[in-house]
Amino acid sequence: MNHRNHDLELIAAYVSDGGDAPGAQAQIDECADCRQEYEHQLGVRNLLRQVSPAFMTDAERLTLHRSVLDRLGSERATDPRRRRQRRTRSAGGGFLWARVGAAAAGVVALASIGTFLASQPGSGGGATTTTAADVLMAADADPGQAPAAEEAGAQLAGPRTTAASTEMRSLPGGDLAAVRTEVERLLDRAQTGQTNVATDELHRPCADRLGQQQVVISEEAQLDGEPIIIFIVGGDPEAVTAVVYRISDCGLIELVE
Amino acid sequence: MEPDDAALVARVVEGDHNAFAVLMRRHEDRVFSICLRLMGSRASALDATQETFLTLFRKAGQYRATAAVGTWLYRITVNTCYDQLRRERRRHAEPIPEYLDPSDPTAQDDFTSVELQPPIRRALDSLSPEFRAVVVLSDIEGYALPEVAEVLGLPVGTVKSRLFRARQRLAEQLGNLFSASEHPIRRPTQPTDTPPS
Repeated sequence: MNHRNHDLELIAAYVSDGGDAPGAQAQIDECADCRQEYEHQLGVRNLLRQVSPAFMTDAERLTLHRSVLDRLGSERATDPRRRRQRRTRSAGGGFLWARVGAAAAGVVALASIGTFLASQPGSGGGATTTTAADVLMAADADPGQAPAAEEAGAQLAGPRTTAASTEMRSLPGGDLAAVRTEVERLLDRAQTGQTNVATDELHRPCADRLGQQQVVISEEAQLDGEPIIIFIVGGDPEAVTAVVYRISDCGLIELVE
Repeated sequence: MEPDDAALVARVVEGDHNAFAVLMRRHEDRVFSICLRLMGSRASALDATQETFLTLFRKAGQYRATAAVGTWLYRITVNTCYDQLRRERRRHAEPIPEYLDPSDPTAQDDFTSVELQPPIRRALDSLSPEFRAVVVLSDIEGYALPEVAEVLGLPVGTVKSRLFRARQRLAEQLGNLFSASEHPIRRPTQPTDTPPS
């Protein structure tokens, strides 16, 4: 029997959907050419099914979030209704963080650590990501709440130690609000050119996740008693980004511009 | 419980950036995956992913609940890739193979986990974007044919036809790399070396 008399697209559908292509199996059974086409189609499909899903790396995710944030921000800036807000955000690097801190104080509830990234196939750990888009959202929060964040930052206590130290009591940080305040301080430092790139070997695996991005400050801290590493990245002091990883598995905790 | 996608889109229309952030986190890996398979390089895929979400933000008001948000978003994704591929073709730019991307040290992990990636990549690149999209959505991303048709805005018959021809082309190029294995439903009832009837 010649396969030209047969519906070969039926075979394609049969390969894709199995039983949803009635008549295909009979056609394959009766016609050697059809059977050969079926095997080719099935072979290609099986080969392509082996292709692993593609996931962004942390560095790519960071780049994506920054890019979307930048583009949305510039569109907001050209929107007359948003112009005043945009100027305010540009006026000082710390203001945005004060607003993010305000979010931590209750205006915006961020998901708890260990839920979001754990559900992301291919991700490195079980931490929550605050995306750049989250930060943008947080910037819309009520700025009147900012003092609460500053208050939280004042809870930072104890002398700073070297990055190699893992003595929790002596590390900066504390709860999420305190970590954010510390990140804000480091962002301010980077924006005034005070850099520190003494990345300890302990932190090398986490630093590697940043790809080719330039680290200008690295500082070990703690979040609820767990060691974390804060990286400030970016060659342009006006466009630095903070990336916070849990040291134990380099799980991404926060991403802040 | 987090709101469903349609509710989030409605909030995006109202200017809710939190809703946009949630939508983005929910779909960014799938969007990136489609972009990567269609564009061929991680850098181009990132660009297309960015454009897709910006389009989502700008056009959220045009969403109609006749289709799932995912279907609508993946249609935006494919169309964004088509546009970008057309622009790249005009520039005659050679895409950097994803497995050679030097800017991202962790990209190598993705490659080593999929040994057949380079030949598959080359074979997919040989297809036109319209045929590649059908294969990517059906055979790599695992959508059923009616879903592929909905995402691409095509009749199911056209999808079947393109899929058949695309696989034929891929079989010619990848012939020595695959062997037909067990069908998820049934195997042919006759041996493959039976002479044509």
